[in-house]
Amino acid sequence: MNPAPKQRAAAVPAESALVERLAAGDLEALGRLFDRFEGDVRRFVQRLGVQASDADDLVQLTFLDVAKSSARFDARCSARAWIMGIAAIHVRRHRRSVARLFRAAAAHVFEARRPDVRTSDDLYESEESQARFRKALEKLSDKKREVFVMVAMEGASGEDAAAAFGIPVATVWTRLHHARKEIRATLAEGEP
Amino acid sequence: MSAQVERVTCARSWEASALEDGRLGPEGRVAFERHAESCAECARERAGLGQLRKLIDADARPEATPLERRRLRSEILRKANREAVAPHSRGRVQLVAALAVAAAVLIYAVARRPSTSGANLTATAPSASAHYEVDGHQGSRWKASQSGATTRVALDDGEAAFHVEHLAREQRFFVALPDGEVEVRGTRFVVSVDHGRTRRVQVTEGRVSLRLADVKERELYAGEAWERTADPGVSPPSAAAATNEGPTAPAPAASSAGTAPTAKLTTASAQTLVAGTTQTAASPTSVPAAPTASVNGSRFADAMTLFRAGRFAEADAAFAAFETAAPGDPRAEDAAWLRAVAKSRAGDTAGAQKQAQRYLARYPQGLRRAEAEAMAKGSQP
Repeated sequence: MNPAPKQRAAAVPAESALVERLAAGDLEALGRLFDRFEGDVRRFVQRLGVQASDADDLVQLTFLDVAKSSARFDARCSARAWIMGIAAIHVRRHRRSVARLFRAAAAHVFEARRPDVRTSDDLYESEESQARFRKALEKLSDKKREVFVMVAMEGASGEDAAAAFGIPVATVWTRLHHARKEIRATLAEGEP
Repeated sequence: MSAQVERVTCARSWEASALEDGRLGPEGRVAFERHAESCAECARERAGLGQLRKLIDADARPEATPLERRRLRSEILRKANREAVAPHSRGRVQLVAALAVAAAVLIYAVARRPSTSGANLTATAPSASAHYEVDGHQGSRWKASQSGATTRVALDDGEAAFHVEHLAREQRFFVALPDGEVEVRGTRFVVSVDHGRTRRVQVTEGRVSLRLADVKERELYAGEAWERTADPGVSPPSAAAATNEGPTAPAPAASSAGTAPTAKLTTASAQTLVAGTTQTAASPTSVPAAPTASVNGSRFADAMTLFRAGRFAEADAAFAAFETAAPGDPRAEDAAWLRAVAKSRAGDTAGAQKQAQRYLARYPQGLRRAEAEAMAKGSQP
């Protein structure tokens, strides 16, 4: 799922060059960045808790912000992680809206009415286990969730995540460690 | 799984996470794997992380179809291009909106408080109420208030020009005077009050109803002016005006005897007589001259009317006449400045510059100093 370290290292300069071209006013570079990262950003925002129906809006906001912020991009960092960092900011704003909170609450109510059909054997493979995993992800704080999704799920390096979120690398590892612990604890709560 | 989470006490258990994240080098990875073979806790930790990895790998999310992706791409590029072409347009719109709101608040605040003396203040009513403007001339004191659909501007002293746009059926507009009131149905007019008495009402557009305590109610139409021609027990307007325009005539014996004051109704064509002579054939009684302050007010108001009508050359001449007639009048400074503006708007740039320099020479600390300095350098007002 995650790109191999070597592939990532090779890809960074080309991606960075695209952001630099964009900063110089080349909008074609924005199209190329979109082609390359749209899927990543869409998956990333959904993993951070955005409904699929809202993902388009978040993707659009993210890439428009990429165009506006391109002059501030540090070419030593991964463009992919940088773009995800921008997406995370928009997701945070999105999640704070009261309407989304109500929608999320309604979704929880709906899920609670589903019949419990899981067994211990298919705990990690079943659809139900995926739903529980997502719920566990949802229970994390924003900071832990962002780090967990970017590093553990999207394969960004600790250094890139640190640059994207503006935090020390050690903080990335700490948050990641606690995020894993909390997710596993949440999953274990429902285990027979 | 809960057991795996809660019972980890081995000091090396963190290496399971480090291994998962690729933070352990080749040697460290081999060393930890060897340790995990003999440490049940670390083995469980690894297994738990491996199961979590399975969940992460199975976490598929809906993707956009190629058509949706293409549409979104076009939309993003279109918006980005629009912002790149007009990068400050949003800021400009926000700035204009902010300025409009600020202006509305300022205008509303000015309209609702008494004007300060010493400057011409123009106030426009908020859009929710009747649309009107009050141009309080120097030294005037007035206060606007709103009660439902009724607007009331209390003019306590001085002269003010009013412009009231046509009122809706339920709207009413009054100018409250110390000794009466003027009711308006959409018009332009000038009212002068001095020493608590209404001195003059001149209507340039529309119609007003004039109701004073000591004068029978009357209607004034466009081009008509009502002027108080005698006033018992009122001292001359001001020392400055008296000095500059000659001695003010004493109050007539009839007035001092307490008889009803007389009033003079003039038409637009007769206004020059009002301003320039002491008696007219239309005068109902043989009365002395009108107070000089009212005469000056009339001159200034006439000049303002010409200025507002866009007849700048005539306005310039009218203001010049006012300056000559009343150099010590508080409005002389306004007249000097407005002459420069009138010249500029009439296309006489050199004349405007010269007049601005003249203004600065005469009023070095004048209220319009900044604008005059700019105009003296050749800027448009």
